Amino acid sequence: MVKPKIAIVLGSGGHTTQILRLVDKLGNKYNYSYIIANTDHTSKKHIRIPGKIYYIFDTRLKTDTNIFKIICKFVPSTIQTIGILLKIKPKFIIACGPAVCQHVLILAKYLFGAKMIFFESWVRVKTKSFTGKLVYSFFTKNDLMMVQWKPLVKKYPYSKFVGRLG
Amino acid sequence: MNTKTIFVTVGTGKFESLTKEMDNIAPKLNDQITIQIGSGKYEPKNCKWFRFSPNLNKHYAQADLIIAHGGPGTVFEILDTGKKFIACANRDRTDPLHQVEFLEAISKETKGLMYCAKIEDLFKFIQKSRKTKFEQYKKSKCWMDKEVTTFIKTTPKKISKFALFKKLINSYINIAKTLTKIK
Repeated sequence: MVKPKIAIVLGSGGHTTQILRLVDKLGNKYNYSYIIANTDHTSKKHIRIPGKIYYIFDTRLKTDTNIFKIICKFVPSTIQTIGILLKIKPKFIIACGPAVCQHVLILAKYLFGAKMIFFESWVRVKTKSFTGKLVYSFFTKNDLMMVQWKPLVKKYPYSKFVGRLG
Repeated sequence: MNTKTIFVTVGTGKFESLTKEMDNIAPKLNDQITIQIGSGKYEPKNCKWFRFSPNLNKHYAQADLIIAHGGPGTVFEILDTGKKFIACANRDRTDPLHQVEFLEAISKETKGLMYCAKIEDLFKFIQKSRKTKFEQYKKSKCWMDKEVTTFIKTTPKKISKFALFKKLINSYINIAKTLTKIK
């Protein structure tokens, strides 16, 4: 049987540890490929289940307030992402991380028909994250949204409470 | 009072107020103190310090008391060691409230850590931690992987044209059968 293809967007730091813990739990059943921001040098070492690795420009917003700057960051990253997704052709895409994953998720869903799987970080107890809000506005019932703390379930109507990875 | 080792970690970012406060109280305490200061500019004078280390487990093992920022990666790592643990929320960050929220929630759930809301109270918390007992943290259940696998299994695969054609014919046959039964 052919293993289903899954693309994984690694964030940085804590986001990476969370996603990789999930990947460890999922095990060898699937064909993974990883997408990493090019400013992130530590995530690659932590990958335990092998897969192809692709790099994209980092679009993390953090302290940027200048809209022109943000657009300048997103355009080349978007072009790169389309190229990478053409190579991978994922059926599913998993992410949890910071702003690096937003446009990757949306492009994968609307251009390549992949199903989005997104979960909120384990810090989020009551409030939504910026990425969560943005990605959730593109959600349909065919996608999977998970949260790691019970109070958050009320804020995302389609989401599921799945326990905590820590 | 017998000396003990205290280890302070601030993660990959910076947490100036914690390093400063720790440096200020260091003379009052009769302990060996090591601080991992990250990318902070302030360099402590009264205690040992270093910037980064690839593996902090050695330092965790030597310490009697660990003081850390509220980054969940660090928090869960230290909770697993079962050492005495005080966590302070880092309000210097770009998103200042999420560590507060997280630490409040986790400190309600387990007694494996003490949550120090104000950094000025750190000295009191250190004194208090000598007397109190800390519980071993039990990992919470997580069925995220099961949720994902069922999601992947249940999503319908794309139907090929041939299969669709087959389905159509089958439905016609069914209709024909029901019609013949009625007769």
